[in-house]
Amino acid sequence: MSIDYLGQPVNYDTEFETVIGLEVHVQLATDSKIFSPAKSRLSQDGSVAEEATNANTTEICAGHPGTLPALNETAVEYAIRAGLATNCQINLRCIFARKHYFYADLPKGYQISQFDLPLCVNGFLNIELGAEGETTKRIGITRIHMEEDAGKSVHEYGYSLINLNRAGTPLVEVVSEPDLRNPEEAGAYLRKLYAIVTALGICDGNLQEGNFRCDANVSVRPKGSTRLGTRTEIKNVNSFRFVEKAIEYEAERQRQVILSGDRIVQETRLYDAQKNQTYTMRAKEEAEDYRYFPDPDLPPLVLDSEYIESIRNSLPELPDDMRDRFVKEYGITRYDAGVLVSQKSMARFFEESVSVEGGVSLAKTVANLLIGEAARLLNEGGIDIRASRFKPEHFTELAKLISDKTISVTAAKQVIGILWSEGGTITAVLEIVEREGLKQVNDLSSLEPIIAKIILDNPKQAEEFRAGKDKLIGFFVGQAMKATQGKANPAMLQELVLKKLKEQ
Amino acid sequence: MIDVNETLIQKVADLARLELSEAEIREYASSIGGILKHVEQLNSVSTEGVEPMYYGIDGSLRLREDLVQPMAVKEDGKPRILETAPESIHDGFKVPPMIG
Amino acid sequence: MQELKTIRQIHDAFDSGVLTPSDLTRNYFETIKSSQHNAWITLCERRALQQAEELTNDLTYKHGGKVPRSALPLFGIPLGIKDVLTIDGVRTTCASKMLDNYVPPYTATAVVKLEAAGAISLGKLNMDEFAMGSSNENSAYGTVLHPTHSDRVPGGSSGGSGTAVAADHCLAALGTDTGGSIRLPASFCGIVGMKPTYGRISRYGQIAFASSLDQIGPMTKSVEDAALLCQVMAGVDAKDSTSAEIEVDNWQQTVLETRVSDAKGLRVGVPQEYFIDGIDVEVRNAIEGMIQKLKDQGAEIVPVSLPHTQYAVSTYYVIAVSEASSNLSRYDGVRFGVRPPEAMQAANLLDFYKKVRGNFGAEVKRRIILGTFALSSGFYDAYYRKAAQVRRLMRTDFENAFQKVDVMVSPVAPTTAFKLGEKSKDPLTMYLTDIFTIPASMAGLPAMSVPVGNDHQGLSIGMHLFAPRFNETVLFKAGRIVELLAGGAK
Ligand SMILES: [Mg+2]
Ligand SMILES: [Zn+2]
Repeated sequence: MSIDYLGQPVNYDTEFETVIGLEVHVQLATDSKIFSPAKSRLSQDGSVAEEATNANTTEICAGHPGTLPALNETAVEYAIRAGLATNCQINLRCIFARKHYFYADLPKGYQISQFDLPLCVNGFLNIELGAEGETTKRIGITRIHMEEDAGKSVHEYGYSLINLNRAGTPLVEVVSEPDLRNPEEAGAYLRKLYAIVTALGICDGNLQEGNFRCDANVSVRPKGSTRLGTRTEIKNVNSFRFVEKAIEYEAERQRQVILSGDRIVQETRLYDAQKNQTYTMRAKEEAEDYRYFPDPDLPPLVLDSEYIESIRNSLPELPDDMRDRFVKEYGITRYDAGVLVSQKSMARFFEESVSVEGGVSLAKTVANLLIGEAARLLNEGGIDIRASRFKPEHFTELAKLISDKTISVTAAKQVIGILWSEGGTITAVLEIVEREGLKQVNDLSSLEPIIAKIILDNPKQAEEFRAGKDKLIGFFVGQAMKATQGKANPAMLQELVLKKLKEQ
Repeated sequence: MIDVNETLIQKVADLARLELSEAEIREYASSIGGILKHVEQLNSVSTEGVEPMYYGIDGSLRLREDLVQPMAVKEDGKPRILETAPESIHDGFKVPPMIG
Repeated sequence: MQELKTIRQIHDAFDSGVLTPSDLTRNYFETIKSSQHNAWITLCERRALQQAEELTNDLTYKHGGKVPRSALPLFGIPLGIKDVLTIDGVRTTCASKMLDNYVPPYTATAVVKLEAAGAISLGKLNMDEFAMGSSNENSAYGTVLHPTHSDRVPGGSSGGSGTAVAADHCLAALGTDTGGSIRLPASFCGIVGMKPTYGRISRYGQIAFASSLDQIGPMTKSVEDAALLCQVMAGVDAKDSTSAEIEVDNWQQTVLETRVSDAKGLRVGVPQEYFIDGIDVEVRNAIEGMIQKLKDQGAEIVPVSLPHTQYAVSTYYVIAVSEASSNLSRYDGVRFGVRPPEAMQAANLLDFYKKVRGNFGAEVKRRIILGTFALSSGFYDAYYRKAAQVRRLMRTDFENAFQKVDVMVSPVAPTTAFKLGEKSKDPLTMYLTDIFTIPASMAGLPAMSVPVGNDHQGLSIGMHLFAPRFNETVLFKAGRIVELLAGGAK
């Protein structure tokens, strides 16, 4: 229940529904650019070392007079992979078109893109919804087309500065159907698409570097209506969470506008993450007439189905299949498996961690440690697990130590925190456990006098416990744990406390 | 038939980012009007079902192997592409403020 | 030196030691500098003399005084390059103020190939701005004068190339042809001009006017030299996705082996639509006279019909200007080219663009507006798409006609070189000058202008020959027969 601008309570959810379509620009991890032999900003190993301004800019990238495009075959292959992995139909004849607009970071005054007859059409992907990912929803993919990225501009006081290193980086634009109904679905769609393109090895997946950028088309309409409301487009948001928040804000803004009797203006908006709001970038009236027409420099791309099939046959395991396999092979939950496979590097790391003798029995624990403490630190640090100090052996070892009761899960989290900043070889885990004194005390006989003293010091609580106030067991266990500096095996400690309470 | 007036010429010139004088706008309204009138003869050609010819050659697009070519640099190691820049600063192409 | 007209004659002179590449190059620069024709925009004298000197040394020390004709077929041959083609380090203006200061960082593939075959580039030839024009009156560097009649136009857009070859500023030149820009000035100036099949020669480094039509070609004093230059430049180029992977023949050999008697059995098509009212009577007589000579030699003269010819100019002016409006979007004063001082004072980018792009010449702006309109939302189908459909019909006309004939002939233009200023007031009249050259461009055919006579004022008349796509061999053969019958290059 919310309050509208007149202060009246309104249950918007029963009156409106949000309709969202997403357009995602995925940078393809080719060596050279899409139409020029210049180094593409993404290097082979996925590192994104900062290049000197305009160092990767040829006369083709800069749109010099007389230059012509020559299409990169790897970019085509990657785009086909994207299409096949999202159940698209691959057009055996597709067309490159020029999209015209004037902007200082667009060298030719047009972007080579696809308009009529894109490479891939009519696909879909499944997203998982609900707290445990228990329900599945199919989201349509209208088209996936190939295009070139623009350059970058830096805005200084009184002038702007153009860097064309990014100009000509190959992109696929993945356009969804307006099948998404709320920010959570949009987030799930983006995470799934991200998992797919990184699993395919066609995108390096560095969000900060703009490898994966999202535009969201948002409209609201009376629930039950089949007509689409006037939409706004929120441009270039490069974090999943911000996309969700931007959509949430925008849908609410649109509801307020409609309820106040105004009309939605079709326009392009930008999202300000700091203020958590969207604002107008340009209204549709001022919008460009793109004057698309087939690029006469690039004849139609004609592919044969044998080639498509050979790419289909060489596709790596996709996230959904990997998730199902993880559930089956390692006995972890569907939800945990889904989280692990949402990032290719995390999924690989997990598999390496449990690829030891008896690894399967450790899988659940490893998964929990990775999804919990490790992921928390990685997210905070904004880095990929492969770029961190973590090694798969660390987690194998931690899971072993937990399973043979040498350390507690709490202690394991502490070790992970230390590994995060120190790293080290496989022996580092035990060394940290020793050094920090994190070994669990399993022989509790030495604790008996301490427990006895705690009971004696708290006669009132002991009496209430005996009178049936079971919950008080926690109080005694807590006191005892404190006395052992948290090292006692909690299950064994509880057993001992119970025994003592009954005896005394 | 399209009425080629000065308003249309101004609108199209804006789209093409061309600054025109009033005399130019008048002249183009007249000359382009004349040309488009001649072009109207195409309406009398029956083109139903005719595949448009958008390209000078037949056949499929050739693909380029994904190979990186070394970049051309000047003697001072700076990118050669900056040689032609009307104005540059910090190795970037300088333009008037794009925003604000 | 004026006697030496062909590459073969020059090479013989090199062999005999009476001439060196350096002498030849210096002589040409003298001629150029004393000329009043305004045929050149930029000379690259130092570069050319250095090339010439190296070749002169090589001739003596590397090649034993004998021109290595098969390895370097253009050894020491000074050429003029239309200023629409880039040469690394040499100013390339496209005859536009917009590119007055533009020094490209790379060389056009065609020029790379010519220089690799031993050719010397003397400099950059005047033309209509961005190759848009039929008279060379649209150059930001002034009109080029006709080689022999200073009150006449040389034809366009390769007018500098036409005049330079005819006035012997160079042995041969490169032109480019979009709707007739090689053939028309060749006809007006009295030289051979040849436009290969679209896709024969890489367009990489050819500053684009209309990408689906533009093609580089030779402008020479003989059909043999045209054949030689063409075969050196032809061939697939990885940098041009529209260059064709089709075998290149030895066309020079074809020309050398062709005799007048080879006319026997040649099926020569005469498209009835090209012999309309309004053709100058002297032009008609010269062309019909040559057709009669071909017939006398045993050629089979076949009347053919190309029913969509009347739509050629309309179709062309929609397609060419649409592509041009797109191709010329890149001239924004950001990465290269001229940025007028007031542009940097612009408050915003929109204003900046308008100030920069306002400096295109009048004809270029006219075509950008026309093309922008034809592609704009709501008009695309009626103009651009419609014209592309009619273009297909025109191509089909040719394919049908070529079932019956090997080659076709017509006048290049309805008149001989017209007077300066005669048509520049009325764009449509000017556009109609190209009425006979445009159709072959639309269909991508190889075509050629060969001089066949003069009118009573001594103005040259060219015969237009065109052949099926990628059949340059028959075109050169027929062109050579016509050249011989006209008493041209021996
Ligand atoms: Mg989009
Ligand atoms: Zn896009």
